[in-house]
Amino acid sequence: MLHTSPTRTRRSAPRDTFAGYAFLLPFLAVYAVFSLYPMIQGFIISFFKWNITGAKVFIGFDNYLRLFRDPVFWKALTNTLLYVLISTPIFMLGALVLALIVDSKLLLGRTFVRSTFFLPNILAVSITAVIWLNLLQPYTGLLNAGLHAIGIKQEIFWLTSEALVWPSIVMVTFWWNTGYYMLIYLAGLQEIPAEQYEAAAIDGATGLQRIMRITIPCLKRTHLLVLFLQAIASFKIFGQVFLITSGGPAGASRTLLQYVYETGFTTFQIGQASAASFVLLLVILSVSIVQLKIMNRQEA
Amino acid sequence: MQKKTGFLPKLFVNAAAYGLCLLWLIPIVWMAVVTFKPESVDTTKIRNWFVPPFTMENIEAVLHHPQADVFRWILNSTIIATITTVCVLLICTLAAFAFSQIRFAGKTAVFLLVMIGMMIPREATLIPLYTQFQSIGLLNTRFSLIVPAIATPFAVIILKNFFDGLPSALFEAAKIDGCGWLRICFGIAAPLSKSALSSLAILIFMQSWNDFLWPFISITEPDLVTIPVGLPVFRSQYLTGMGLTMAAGALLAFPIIIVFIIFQKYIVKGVASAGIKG
Repeated sequence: MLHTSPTRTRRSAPRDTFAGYAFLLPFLAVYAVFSLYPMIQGFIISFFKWNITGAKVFIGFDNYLRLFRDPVFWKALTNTLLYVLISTPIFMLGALVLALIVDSKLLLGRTFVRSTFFLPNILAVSITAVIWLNLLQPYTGLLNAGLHAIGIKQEIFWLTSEALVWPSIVMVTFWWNTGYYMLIYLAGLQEIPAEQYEAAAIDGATGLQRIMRITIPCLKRTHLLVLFLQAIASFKIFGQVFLITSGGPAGASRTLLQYVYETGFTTFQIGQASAASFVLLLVILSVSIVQLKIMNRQEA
Repeated sequence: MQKKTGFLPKLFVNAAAYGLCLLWLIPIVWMAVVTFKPESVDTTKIRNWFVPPFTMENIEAVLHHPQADVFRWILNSTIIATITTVCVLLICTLAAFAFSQIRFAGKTAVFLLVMIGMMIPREATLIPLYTQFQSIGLLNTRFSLIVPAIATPFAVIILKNFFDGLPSALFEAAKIDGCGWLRICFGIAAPLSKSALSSLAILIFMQSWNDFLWPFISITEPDLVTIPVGLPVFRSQYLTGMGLTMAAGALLAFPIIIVFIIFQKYIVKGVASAGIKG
């Protein structure tokens, strides 16, 4: 991923600066107006007090100071960070295990199994939310009924208990998205040269040894790719949480992006919402830069 | 190195795989079951699932809901995702071709700018994007749902890498024959990159189809509502009874599941290859 060398054309080729920019023009125009300009604009707005209808007043770093004094912001930030830290290894391990299963030569009907694991990915977030909102309900939901059937008689309040709301979200997201990362792992698995396994077979390695000593180390690049894709996606978590728990109970599942949304569009503090957006942007930008550094070093 | 594998490992792998498949499918199957069951039936009992009574009440309630026009939502999502995908492919192919094949002054700097864009999450620019569309009076238009998603740096980089890998002799020959850049781009580079283009098309279509936060914030006009934004309408009004929400979910999921089943081979392959190259 991410080849940073911009030019591969031969030195001898004549320059054609006009054509170059003509080809880039449509992209650059849209990109400048709808990506770069809003980013800069957001940074500027974050220094103003502005509630959409009133006038903009320059207040320097006040929005940031208010942000860092706002316990709701800290709660949303720590919720999001904890979610990233705890869920990322779970998703990675899950995706790897699924990939190993669907890559196995022993498996019958591989296409069907692969498609099944990937299927939830195609569902829009609100469909996923509707399904799981009903599934996780106490008394009427299927999950508790299933648990009762295997002997757990207690009624579990998945979405209204502070201790269980995040495990529930991890479970939903696991079901919804792991298939995507499974496919990336699968592509990585298929790039491991067969000779590696043949050598191990001669040495008499068992299946599990093969996985631990060859497969997992050989997938180093894929691990990194999945790690960063997953981490960045997790920092931006919003839809499934918002639609299932609305951030509850009592803000226990409010995410950073939900804080941005609420500050900007329910209480209309555009300045402060922009400051919060910018914090999110900085967090993701730094993760991306670390990714770029590590992955380029891998390639070198 | 064909080695005879025992029956037990084979049984184990298949049992694990199909056991998990079942877990993965149950939520979707259950959505369908709840949809076609009257409220009086206990749908948490599997023995009730596939035996009568069945009902169309929930589906009809969704279709006759005064504030929900599910077919319009499906149409809107289809229009927006299709136009977005076509525009991204067109514009990003041009840009990627320039970065890959044309020598021009300032290329390194411009490329860096695009790389930076890849690291900016769109979610972090929603507030300024909203005020920007508001000030030019284009909120609540299809335009506002499509255009911000068009400049996709990630697509440019994938395509550029792909074009870089094509044999340069082809381009040289075309140049000698007097082909212009546009001919080379759309006559040679793009047709040879069908696999990359189709993978990207799938990813971008899916992204657009599932996009939630931006349309959720920016669309208030009922005629422009897309699937992800429309569905929660059912929840806000009818907190009791899951038949209606599940029926709405099932109706909205149905077309995309059918499309997935038809094209599953391509989608699964395409996602994997775009993912690894991205």
